[in-house]
Amino acid sequence: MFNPALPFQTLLRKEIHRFFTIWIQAILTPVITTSLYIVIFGLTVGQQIKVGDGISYLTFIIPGLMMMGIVNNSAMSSWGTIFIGKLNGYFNEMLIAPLSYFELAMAYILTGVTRGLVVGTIIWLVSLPFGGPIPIHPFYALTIAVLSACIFSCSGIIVAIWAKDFDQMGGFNTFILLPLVYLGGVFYSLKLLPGVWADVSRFNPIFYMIDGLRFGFFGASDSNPALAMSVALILATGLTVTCVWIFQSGWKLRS
Amino acid sequence: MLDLTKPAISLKRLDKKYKPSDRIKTEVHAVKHLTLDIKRGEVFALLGPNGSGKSTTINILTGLVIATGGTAEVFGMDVVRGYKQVRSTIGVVPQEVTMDPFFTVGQALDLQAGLYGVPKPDRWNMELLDRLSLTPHVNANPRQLSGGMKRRLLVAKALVHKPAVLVLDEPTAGVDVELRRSLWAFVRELNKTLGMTILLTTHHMEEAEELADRIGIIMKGELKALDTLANLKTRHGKESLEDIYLEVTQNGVESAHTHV
Repeated sequence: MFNPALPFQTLLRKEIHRFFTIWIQAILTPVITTSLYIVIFGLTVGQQIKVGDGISYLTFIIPGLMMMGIVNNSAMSSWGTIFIGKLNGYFNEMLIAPLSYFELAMAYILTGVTRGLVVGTIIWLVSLPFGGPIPIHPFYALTIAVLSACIFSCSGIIVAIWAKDFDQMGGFNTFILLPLVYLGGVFYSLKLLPGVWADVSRFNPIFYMIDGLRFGFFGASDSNPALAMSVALILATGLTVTCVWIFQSGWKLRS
Repeated sequence: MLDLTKPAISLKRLDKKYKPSDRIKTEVHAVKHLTLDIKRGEVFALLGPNGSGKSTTINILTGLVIATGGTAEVFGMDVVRGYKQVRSTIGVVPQEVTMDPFFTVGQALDLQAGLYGVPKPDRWNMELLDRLSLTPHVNANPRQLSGGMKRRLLVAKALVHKPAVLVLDEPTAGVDVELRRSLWAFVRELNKTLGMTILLTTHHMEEAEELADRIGIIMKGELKALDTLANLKTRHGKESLEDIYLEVTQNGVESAHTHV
């Protein structure tokens, strides 16, 4: 009677269903935001900005906007599932279900990855009528997108488990995620920054993700694409292991 | 593997100390070397005042609380080492009524069955909804349900996988008399027809008298009394469980047989 594969499949299906239930917030909002960015920065202000390599500014910012959507949505995925569930008490149902700690962690990570990739893909599709780019290295672009979604899905899970209230959860967004995203080069190339700021940007992991995705689309980037892939791979692996450990140890979940 | 010849629940010198945290200022010794066996097919009522360690004991079984000493087993399977198997064997009706508002009653039950690995052809969700008078609310959001209906939904969710052990943590708190009696009838039926072992915590003495084969009274984490109702009455020379309960919890009179 017990199908051992079913608990994991059900949790994954449940959380992905939740994401599509709130499609206005999860899908429509980033689409509108991206369209506004394209209109404001791409079609108006962007006409005055030159980024070189024969790429228009509008085309240049699309991978950055995609990565911004991926990062934000992957990280926000665990907001409704873990954080709100924890505050309202129903997250305990998952902790006592017959799922291994690995399955539990992977279900939530994959939910975030799925949400991030769906939003990233939609942003790309929205950009196409405005002259959005076609990837030169699609496999590289997809791999860096998946790894980035994994990194921020894991980060969101860790923060959702750690946060005790809305202030702490919001603090992660306002004080960590937002600055890292905007200073990661969504709207500019590192070449445009003065020396010291360019050096500082190289400590921002999101810079490598945006730059890596740009390489996937344009075949040109500010950093070495192998370095960008390595940073993403190391962070994704480390944070996945951390998430599994958190569920296994019961940190902030079991008393 | 679960060993059905072993006790459904076996606690041996189970111990839990909560370290000081944001919520508690000093260390709390919630469960003190608790030893208890609950037989397969038994209805066992664990009584005690608030903060006596009842919910902590239950939460150790389900894995929400990590014991600081001793062992807890379900049909011979350690709740830590064999956690996945143990959790598929237990159904829990929690004390607090919590619902995920994203899913309707029917969806919630369907997802719960999936989470407990029940393939679609083996599900008895519709029967459960019918038995608990929830069929008319199958498409309702849990937020639209009354308190009693929510509690019935929690009971239905705990039963989707026909667990060998059903844990009821104050299942009738805040429930009207009619519903309470119908739940009692259902619990008795589950115990008789499916041989389900039932661990019940309650503050309603009548509930324990009505349902339990044996009764344990826990006080400050220690088991102070353990026996059948008839034996407890004889030993204490009291007519009602309430009088026995008050004698044990207020006057500290211990029952002689605190071991199985």
